[in-house]
Amino acid sequence: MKALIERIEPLIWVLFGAGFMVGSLLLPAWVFTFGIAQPLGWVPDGALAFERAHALAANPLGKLLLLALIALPIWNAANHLRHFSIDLGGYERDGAVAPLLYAGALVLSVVAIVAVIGL
Amino acid sequence: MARMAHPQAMQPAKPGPTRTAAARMPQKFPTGGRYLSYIAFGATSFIYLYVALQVLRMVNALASGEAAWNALLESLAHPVYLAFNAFTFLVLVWAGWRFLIKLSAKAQPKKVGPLRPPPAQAVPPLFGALWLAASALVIVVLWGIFP
Repeated sequence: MKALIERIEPLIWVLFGAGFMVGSLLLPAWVFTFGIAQPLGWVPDGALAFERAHALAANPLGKLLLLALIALPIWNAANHLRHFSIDLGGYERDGAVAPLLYAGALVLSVVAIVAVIGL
Repeated sequence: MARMAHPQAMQPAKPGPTRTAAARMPQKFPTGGRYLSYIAFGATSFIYLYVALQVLRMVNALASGEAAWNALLESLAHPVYLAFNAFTFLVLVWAGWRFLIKLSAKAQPKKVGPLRPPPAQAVPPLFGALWLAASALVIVVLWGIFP
């Protein structure tokens, strides 16, 4: 397992970088809109109504963006959590932590692909 | 094409006769000095995971129909969610600032394929402008200003 993770490490770092870039550029405005502005009633009426939201999400570009907003930050989180764990607990438990985190990221990515296709 | 180098390729096959001290964490690690912000930056991964799962929840609600979507939007108005999402927003802005503005200039390679990256001092303003433009685009689309 360790040898496999060393082999795919370049790919994981690419996904990590892409996840950080997508997460940093798009997620603050996303959370501001859905998590703060919408509950406080600052978003114009109808902007997040089901028909409009579904139409935005269900077109090919919307699906691609949603998939990027889900899967890439998950890989970013998995790799960052692995190194967070190494920083705080050393390499001893990395043999268990790394496969667990990357397998979790892979499963959630597949779930995200299925969910986005199903829109 | 040459085989990929093994990460421990330079490590001797057998331990040498020279005794070396075991690696130790710095005294201030993990909560003193600059280590605190480094560790806090690592902990932001929990927030990225939370937000990604929230987006997945939204996709599932949209796929389930209007009632599920409206129920999700209503649930986000709960004071606990509201407070946590305000905290999440601040964390994302801080992590984005650290990643895009503070680290990006130092992380540029000497060459990007055949191209050279822009000068180091130009990178933070470029990423800052890109961040503002991307945020404005998200707001404009989600708030119904366009399309």
